[in-house]
Amino acid sequence: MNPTYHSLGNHAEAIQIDFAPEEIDFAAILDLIWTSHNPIGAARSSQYKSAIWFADDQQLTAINQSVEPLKKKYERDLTTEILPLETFFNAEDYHQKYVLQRHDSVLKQFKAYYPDFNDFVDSTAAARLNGFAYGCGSRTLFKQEQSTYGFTPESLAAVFRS
Amino acid sequence: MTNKQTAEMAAIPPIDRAIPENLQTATFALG
Repeated sequence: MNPTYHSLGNHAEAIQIDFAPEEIDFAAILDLIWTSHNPIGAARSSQYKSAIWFADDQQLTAINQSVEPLKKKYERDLTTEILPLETFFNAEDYHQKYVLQRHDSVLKQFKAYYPDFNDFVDSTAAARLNGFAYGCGSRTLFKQEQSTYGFTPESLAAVFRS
Repeated sequence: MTNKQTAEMAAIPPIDRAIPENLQTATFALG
């Protein structure tokens, strides 16, 4: 049975991203992961643990290489778990692109673009706009990219925050 | 690409039309 927010079992809240290795390599993503959380912090629960799931042996090798300097830096083992990737379950629809879903007019247009909600979940435009709506990213980056999102600047004015 | 596919492509955000092939996944949780 798929885990849900109110019946998680021992599942953790996690993110799965698709990336193009010719644009960014896995090692660079690992750098972002390591600098975006405390790898020696105590996990509050399975739901909120820190972990990296490797998809293949290449990813495991890259992860192990990235761990070594951190263990030296902190002089202890990391609490971030390294685990083999098994089944990834999508969160319920209302958790997807959570902040962006508060923007009714933008969401309405996305529904016109993507009648199937799964396509909205997989949309790069939706992921980028959700990040900006949350407060990530600079205004310069937003202005550079906004013509690629499929909206007029006026309709996106309320989305950019920070 | 057929005309229908081209028309469908035009109906989604430009950034979503430019997704490269051969994507890999990264999966993580940040406590």
